[in-house]
Amino acid sequence: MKRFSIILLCVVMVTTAFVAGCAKKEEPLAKKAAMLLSGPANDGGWNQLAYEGLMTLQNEKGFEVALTENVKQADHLQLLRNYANQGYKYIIAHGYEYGDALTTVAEEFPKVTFIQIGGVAHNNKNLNAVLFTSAEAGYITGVLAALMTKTNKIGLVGAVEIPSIKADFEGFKKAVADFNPNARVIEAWTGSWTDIAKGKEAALAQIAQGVDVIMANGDAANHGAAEAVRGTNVLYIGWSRDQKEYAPDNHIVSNVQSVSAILVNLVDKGEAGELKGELHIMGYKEGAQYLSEFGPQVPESVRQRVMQVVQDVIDGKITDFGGGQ
Amino acid sequence: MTEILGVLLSANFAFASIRMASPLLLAAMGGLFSERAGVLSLGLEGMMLSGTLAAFLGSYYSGSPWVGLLAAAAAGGVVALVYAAACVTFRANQVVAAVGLNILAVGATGLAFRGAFGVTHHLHRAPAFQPINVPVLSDLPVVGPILFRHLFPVYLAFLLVPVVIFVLYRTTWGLKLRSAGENPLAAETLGVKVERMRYTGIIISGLLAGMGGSLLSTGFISTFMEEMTAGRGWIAFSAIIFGKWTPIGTFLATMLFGAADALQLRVQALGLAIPYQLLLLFPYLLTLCALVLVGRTQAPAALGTPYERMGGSRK
Amino acid sequence: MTAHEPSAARRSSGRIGPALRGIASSLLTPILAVLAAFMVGSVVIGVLKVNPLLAYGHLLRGAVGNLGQLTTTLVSSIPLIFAGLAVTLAFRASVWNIGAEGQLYMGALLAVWAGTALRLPAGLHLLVALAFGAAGGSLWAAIPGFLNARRGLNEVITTILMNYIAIWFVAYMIHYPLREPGWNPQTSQVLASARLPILIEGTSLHAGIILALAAAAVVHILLTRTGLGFAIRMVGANRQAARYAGVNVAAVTVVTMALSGALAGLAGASEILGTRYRLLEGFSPGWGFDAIAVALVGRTTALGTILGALFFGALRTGANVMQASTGLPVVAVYFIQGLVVLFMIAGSAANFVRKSAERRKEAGTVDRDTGSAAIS
Repeated sequence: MKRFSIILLCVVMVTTAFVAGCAKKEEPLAKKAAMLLSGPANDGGWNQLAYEGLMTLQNEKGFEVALTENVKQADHLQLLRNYANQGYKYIIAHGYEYGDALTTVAEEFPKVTFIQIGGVAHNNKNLNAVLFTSAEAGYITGVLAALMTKTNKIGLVGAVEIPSIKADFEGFKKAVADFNPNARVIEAWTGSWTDIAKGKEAALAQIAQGVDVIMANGDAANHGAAEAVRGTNVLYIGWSRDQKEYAPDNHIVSNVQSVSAILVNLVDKGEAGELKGELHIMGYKEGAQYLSEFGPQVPESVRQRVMQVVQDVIDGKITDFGGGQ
Repeated sequence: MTEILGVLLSANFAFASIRMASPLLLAAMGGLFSERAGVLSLGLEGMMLSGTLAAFLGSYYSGSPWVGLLAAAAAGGVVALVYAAACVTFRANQVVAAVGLNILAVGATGLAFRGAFGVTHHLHRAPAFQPINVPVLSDLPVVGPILFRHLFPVYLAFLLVPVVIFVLYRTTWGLKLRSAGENPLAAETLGVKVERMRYTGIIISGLLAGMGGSLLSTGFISTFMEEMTAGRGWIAFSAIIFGKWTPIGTFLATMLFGAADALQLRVQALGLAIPYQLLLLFPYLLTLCALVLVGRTQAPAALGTPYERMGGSRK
Repeated sequence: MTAHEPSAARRSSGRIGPALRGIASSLLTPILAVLAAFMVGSVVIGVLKVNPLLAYGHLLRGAVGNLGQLTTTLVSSIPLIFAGLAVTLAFRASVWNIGAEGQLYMGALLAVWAGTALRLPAGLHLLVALAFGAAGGSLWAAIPGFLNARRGLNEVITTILMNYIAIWFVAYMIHYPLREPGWNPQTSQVLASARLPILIEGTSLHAGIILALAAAAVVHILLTRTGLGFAIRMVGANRQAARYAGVNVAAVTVVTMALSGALAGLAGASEILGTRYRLLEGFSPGWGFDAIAVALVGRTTALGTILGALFFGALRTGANVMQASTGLPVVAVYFIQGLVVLFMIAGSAANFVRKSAERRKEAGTVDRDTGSAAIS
């Protein structure tokens, strides 16, 4: 015990000396962007998209960037204030859960531009909200599923019921009702962003019910559903990025979302002084979402019908996506 | 209601129950050795998580899930060794040691995975175990598809149950292990090396929990994600208590939980208008109710109590 | 038994030393443990190609570097203090409350309901909402307490199961009965009359910190100065002996759990009434589990729990800044946190063994007829 203490004491002194010597002041910089993520940046889904968007700002727009991952709800206020105090020009919070904190802090720092992705908080001044049009994307993928199912049973696997996934599912169900009224959509939630095994089991439970097309949305849910369909004839629709590699033989399409496109768009507006604290709804029309390549299973006639729907959505001819955004 | 009954009677449900119970079963069988030796197995979650990552890395770099399985056992064993050192040698409070270790495992696996692969959008997959159809038996009607078309670690989990029963109750070693957990003082006077038994018990728990973890990253699933064990170690720990510290009871408890989880996912698939949040809590509620019916549990008498060797020979 | 003599001699010499020395030595171990953990952590940080000293500099700056950071550390310690006290109190009765997480969820749920649905004058409304929060946690904890006392069910497993049940039940309540109309699945905001006041303008520091410190004082007094506290400690030391001495062990167990749950419920309530003002899914980053480490690192005393909570709060708060400045993932801090706990164990082991041996000699072997996990 005595020796242990002596060793530790040495550690104390050395470390204290070094720590004391390295406190450093932050200099305010013009082109700085900071981002808050509620999960890890390498989740392969929602948060990673945002991370890639931030990297785009760094590499293509020459921003100095900072990132905080795994942000807990209790820390929202202070982190936002922190970045604002450090002279970050753009502060991006990635998720619906940041709404209250953004509203408060945006009032306190009128010169900083705040951006919420996946939420609706905006103040017509310096707080801007961006929503992916999950519902239209759900609708478009739903059309494909409706036309591809042979058993007339389609499965949806979600992670946690957050608004964007919910809206996606509502749009999807609307499309199936519109294009194949005989088909039934069944929905499952795993309640976890990280439990891949449960995502797989949820999909397997659906397959046991006769489902032959599955769309998944939410990190572990995507991984799990893809694992479940691999080696079967069940078709897979991915979300957030082109998920062909998740299940190469089953993948028929993915709804690709580009946070990079959104951020570049908003920051360009911001630099031009045109960002006015609005709610931006971005999707197929704005190029923030698009379909990946179709799988070889999808016949030409079906591709054309789906692409027609995409065009109709872009042209504003279809506007009812089951009530969501 | 008839739909739910249909689910309960389906072969698919039975098959899924076994599958979902097996990681819990492996970890809980391991945990039994630790608990019966008198040391709480609250660290199973951390051991499993370490096993999950190690199995993935082992399989990814070697190309063989078998190497992954060994790596998982080794990783679980190493975590267990640290736990054993804390609880047995340093006689630390077992709950705090386990809590510390579980936090450490989340940090260490997260860092290691990121250190190895960084943040890329490429999907990293490792070779995973493929189902082994037991010759002849897998072709039996009903029973065949339910029992004999599983992955190797799943068979391992179930074959362990009789082995654990035999080892714990029919061997001298098992008697010694249990005596270390029931009455270490008396055991010591009879020549049982209590500290060594406890070390062994904990390390076995780590080996098996690690293997249980491997089922997640190189068994049912072939990739890794931070915190992907999602609390299974806690459930395995609960199953031991529920099973009243017996192998059979523990086995039944893991099966009950696996079946409840498989059932709730199938009820979701029926598309009944029940909010999924209520279905997700169902396995836990069912377990709680079953526990109330089962009643009083009797822990090994010295469970959780650090043991100081007679003669107090620690320096 | 001659081998016992040297250690006995060392013990008695330790007793001669003044109380000051005791305090100093009890603080020395945690401090050294922290530094040792940072030392090992620096190797890992170095491997990730970040200068560890720079990282720690940012960690320190992030935890206490300015008023904003310091107050954030305090704010994030509030639920940890409450939940840590919950674990501490139960532990003193040798009851393992692993269920603080579920209890704080139930506390938050009832508090947010009272704060949004009731119409009361300011002040009174706050008190009522806090009381609802305490009651929510208390009832949720009393169930395992009752099942333990009456049915002999191990509280470790029942509290673990009830955590999951609470978390999903609260998620259901947020998505359905209490959901505010609109895009977000969240409850509406707690009325101004039920909010904990902000203590320093421009920061998030709210009056919950005063309540938390007061709760610590209450727990301290309860345990050391009251008959109930004495009964709790008796039950904790030896159930059989307590029973012979005429203590109603079952009643004490239930009451202890109920009080423990009330504290955990206040952890959730104070967070909702003090910072978030509404309830969203996943509002707790696992305070109920961290609380176990906090309580035990704080040696299950009220004062120690406060210090442990402040330390964990500082670590998590500093970690955010550390990542922003160095790009180091936040999981690095979990790693260090885990190491701190383990080093703390290693460091205090010698002390701990000596004390527990003494206690065992005085009280006889710990013996519990209910079969609950007995940890001494």
